[in-house]
Amino acid sequence: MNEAHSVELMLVEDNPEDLELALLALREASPTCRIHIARDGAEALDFIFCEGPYGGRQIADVPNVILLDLKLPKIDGLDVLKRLKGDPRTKMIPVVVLTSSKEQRDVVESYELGVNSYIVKPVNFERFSEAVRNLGTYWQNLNQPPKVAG
Amino acid sequence: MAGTVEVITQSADGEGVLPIFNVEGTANSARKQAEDALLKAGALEKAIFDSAYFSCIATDAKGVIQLFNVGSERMLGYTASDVVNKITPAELHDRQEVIVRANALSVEFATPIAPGFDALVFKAARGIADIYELTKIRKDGTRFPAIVSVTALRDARNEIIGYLLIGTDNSARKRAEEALLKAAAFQAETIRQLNSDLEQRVNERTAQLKAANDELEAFSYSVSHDLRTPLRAVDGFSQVVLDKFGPQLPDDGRRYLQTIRAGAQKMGALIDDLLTFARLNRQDLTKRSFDTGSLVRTVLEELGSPWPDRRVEIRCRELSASCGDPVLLKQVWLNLLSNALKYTRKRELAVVEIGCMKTEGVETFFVRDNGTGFDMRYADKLFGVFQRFHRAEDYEGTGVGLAIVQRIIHRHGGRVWADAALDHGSTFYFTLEKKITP
Repeated sequence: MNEAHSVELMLVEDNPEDLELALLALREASPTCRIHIARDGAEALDFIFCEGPYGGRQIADVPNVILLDLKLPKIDGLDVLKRLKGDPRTKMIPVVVLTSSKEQRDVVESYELGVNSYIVKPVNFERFSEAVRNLGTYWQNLNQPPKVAG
Repeated sequence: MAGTVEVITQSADGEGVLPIFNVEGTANSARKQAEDALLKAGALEKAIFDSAYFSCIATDAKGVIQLFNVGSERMLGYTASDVVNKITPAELHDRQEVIVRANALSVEFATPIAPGFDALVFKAARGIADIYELTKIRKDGTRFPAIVSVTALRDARNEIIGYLLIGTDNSARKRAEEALLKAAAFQAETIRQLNSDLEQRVNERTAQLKAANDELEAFSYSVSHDLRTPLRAVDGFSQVVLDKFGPQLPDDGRRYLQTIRAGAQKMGALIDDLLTFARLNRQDLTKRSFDTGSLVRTVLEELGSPWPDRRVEIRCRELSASCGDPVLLKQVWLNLLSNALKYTRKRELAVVEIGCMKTEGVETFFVRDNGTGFDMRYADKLFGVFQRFHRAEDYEGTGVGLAIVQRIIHRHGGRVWADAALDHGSTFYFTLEKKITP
């Protein structure tokens, strides 16, 4: 379908339970969405910047949206966000921070780094699913027909 | 002493000088009397002159020493023959000090004064009483502080014919002064040391407090992240089971899963409330004056006003402006009003009254309801953390809301209290610090 975007959504999440729940909610909202999963910050950056095991990828082939957990092994979410928003090739990718943290400093720092949206994962799963569905603007992006060059 | 002594020097052959002293008022007596007087005066002057504890040095007009008494010999270690007709007293003084004095006098009298004998007698030569402190140098090179009084010696025509320098050894006084200075310095040092010890202790305590605070910060940050994660799994997977396998489960099975979910959610609420409570102590207050009425209206809207599915009457009187942290005080109003709504839930018509009044000159806000109230016997527990007055199945809650209210009010320097009767509603009052600036 969309040749420019082999991956439509990237989910960066280390916790297996949260990951499974997020996938359940995402599948419910968009059953056919092509999702790539990264389990830590370093893997996420390797994928986006086509480094390491992802050396064969094209950097132009960016996901339409990135759902990013903040507390991640190796490189944490805020550092991933800093790299993405600091690089002209990737700064346009919408990033939604998805985290347990209600800590004000995380919220403030995320917005300072240019995050597009910030969702605190509620304990209540129904509200979590709703939050995922409410990423409507980004879902619409996902469903856009491919742009034909020229 | 200045001006009372007259010295006549006889410059005979350059070998020696014989000084003859005349005390004023003895000149016109008869010869015999004069001789007697002269003898007496001579004896007196000799005694003064021979005093071992005063240095008397007389010079000619150019400063060359003509007379060097026993006291001078004793103090300075020279014999009269070492110095008389040979040197000026300037050479018995610290050279550097004489230069300094010459410079100071040059500035004072706006005329260049040579750093030699002139510097010692410049003032005396102009009839100005002059006593100064200088360091004298003994023959053996050792030094001592001296106080020197200088007087010009004049002949009958008032011409200056020489100078008299009377000096005393100032060592004892200097030592006393130095001891005093030392004692003062010691005292100052002791005080400085005490201050620095105190400062160090304050710094240490501050560092300890900061470390404790940082630890608490890290702790609550971790709680905020890590404690909620497993709860999400409990709630989320219970829901997934209900969604996917609900129809296959017996009614009890579904109910148990709902109970698991309710438990997880309750714990989530507890964690959130506790974190809010813990954060209140760390958070800085940002005080300003704001419209209480509009804040209360916002809170009521957030609480679901006008509650289409129940009968609620809000009686809001005019509220005076508040001075405090609007974010925290919003939390106070939110907690008090949500309590009022919660505990009137079983009333046919819930009546919530909001107002303010002056008690002892201090603006007091209150929230009154016609709800279930409570027994005033337990009033002292009302604002404690996790204190609940109602069964969970009657009224939900974490037992942290009023503790949060109290902490916020106390941080503003205000007071919060309640008045209630079981089944006859309750009233919560609070005051804020009156004003930030007088």
